[in-house]
Amino acid sequence: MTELLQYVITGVTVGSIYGLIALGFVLVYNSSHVINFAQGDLQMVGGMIAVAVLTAGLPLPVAVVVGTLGGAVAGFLLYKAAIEPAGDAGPLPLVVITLGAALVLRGVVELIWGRGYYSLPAFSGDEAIQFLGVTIVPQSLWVLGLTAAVVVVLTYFFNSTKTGKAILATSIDPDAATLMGINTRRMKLLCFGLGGFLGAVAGVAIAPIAFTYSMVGLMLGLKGFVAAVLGGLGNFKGAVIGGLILGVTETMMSGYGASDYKDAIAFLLILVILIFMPRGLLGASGVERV
Amino acid sequence: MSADTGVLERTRAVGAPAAIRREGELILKVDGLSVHHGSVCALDGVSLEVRKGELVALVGSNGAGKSTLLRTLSGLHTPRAGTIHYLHQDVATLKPAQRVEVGMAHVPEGRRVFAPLTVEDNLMLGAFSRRDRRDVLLGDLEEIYGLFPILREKRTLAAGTLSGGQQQMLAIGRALMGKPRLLLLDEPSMGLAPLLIAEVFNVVRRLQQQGMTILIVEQNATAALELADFGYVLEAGRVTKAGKGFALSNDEEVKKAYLGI
Repeated sequence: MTELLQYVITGVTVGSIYGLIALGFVLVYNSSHVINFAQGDLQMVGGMIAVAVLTAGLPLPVAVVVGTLGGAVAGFLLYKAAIEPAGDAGPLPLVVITLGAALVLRGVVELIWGRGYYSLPAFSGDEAIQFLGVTIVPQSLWVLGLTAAVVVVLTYFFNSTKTGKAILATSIDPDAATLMGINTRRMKLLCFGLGGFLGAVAGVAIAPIAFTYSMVGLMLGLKGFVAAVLGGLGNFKGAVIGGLILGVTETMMSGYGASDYKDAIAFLLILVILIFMPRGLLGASGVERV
Repeated sequence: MSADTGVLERTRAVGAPAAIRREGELILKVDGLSVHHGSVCALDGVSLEVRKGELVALVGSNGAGKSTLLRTLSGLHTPRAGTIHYLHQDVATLKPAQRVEVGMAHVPEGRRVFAPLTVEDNLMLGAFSRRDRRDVLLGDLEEIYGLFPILREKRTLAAGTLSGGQQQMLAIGRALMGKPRLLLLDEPSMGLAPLLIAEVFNVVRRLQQQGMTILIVEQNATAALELADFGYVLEAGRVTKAGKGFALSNDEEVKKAYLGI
């Protein structure tokens, strides 16, 4: 029983990270209908920048903040340099552009920091907490707390602020949004920045638990994508729930089954979802237009 | 140019009819506007005027370029030639979002409400470009609810759940929330049942009586021209006739071609 609980807790921690990355996918997808396959690499950039700042001798909190902001800047740059110039290229070319951008990000990071493995110290020590016979590292709580905070803030942002509503309007009907006086390009730029920020939050939060290295974004990005699709691509709540399901299932697989197949779970899940529930768990229902 | 009967004059390809005098401050002046979609010419040297407090109707059959004209005014299309002056300012330098800020509001064809958002959210988005305080906006919201009581009733519902007629009211209300000085209405009666069409035109008449300056584009030419102070007939991207609204609606040629009488 304690074993099961332990797996659940570990799974929820990992799942939160997938959820954060999935939120980045959803934000960008909602605003510009682009699947940003560089999302995982924005996460990696955040982690790497934080490590670099810490190595330069600055305190950990500064490293954390600079790392997350670095992710946001990377998101802005991605939009300005690669997405905006492509104009109305359509979803598929834009997706290919993000794949290219991911390679560029990996390349740049390797040029600066090489292919080494790095990590950050835990935000508040490494002393594990014992709870009902289960071991919890404090960093897990940080991850959970940050994810919860991000969800609360995003929910407030989209439900109660003018800019949040404007982003929703842009995603629903860009032309009509323009006629409201909304600068739709600025909204998309904002979403790429926010996506980068969310990715970097994930990257920085998990750097004390898992290593960060130039290629880490590839698999994490794919997992985040699976989580987003699981949740119905476009739905914030769904993205987090998708992440948690994926994280827990994965941990169960490595705990009770074979850890070799851990990564296969994500792709098995996405196949099952696409075949039986193509709209995802919390996907939008089709009835809207009259 | 063919021979003409009655008060109407055939207009030249460019330029307004000389015989009809119109009063009031010039709000919108379009001169020789040409717009192309790829290699297809949608508007070919269109000129027209809208004066303060006027209801101007632009009628024409499907594909004549009516919507293209409004979309170009709003900046969704870029003209190949010609100028658009709004309040004596050339709008070519203004981005679409800025045109809303200076008081041009566009109710797009097909209503285009934000279906998943609530009725109230839709209305408030109409005020996006305004810098007014929230209580001022809420006051204006009340005014819109006064004009369209059904919207107050359904304020918390998703706009997509409204009927076509209600969505049209919402689309108009949303545009009015921007406190426009010029209202561009694109096919407000499209796809509505006859009873609702009458209701929509009632709203248009009320706005006209309140002194709103309106440029309306309609396939339903009878209703639009009867209401309008001035009308233009658009044919294959060109203005072929212009005149007082009621005169146009009684013009034999217009009747035959557009009114189905």
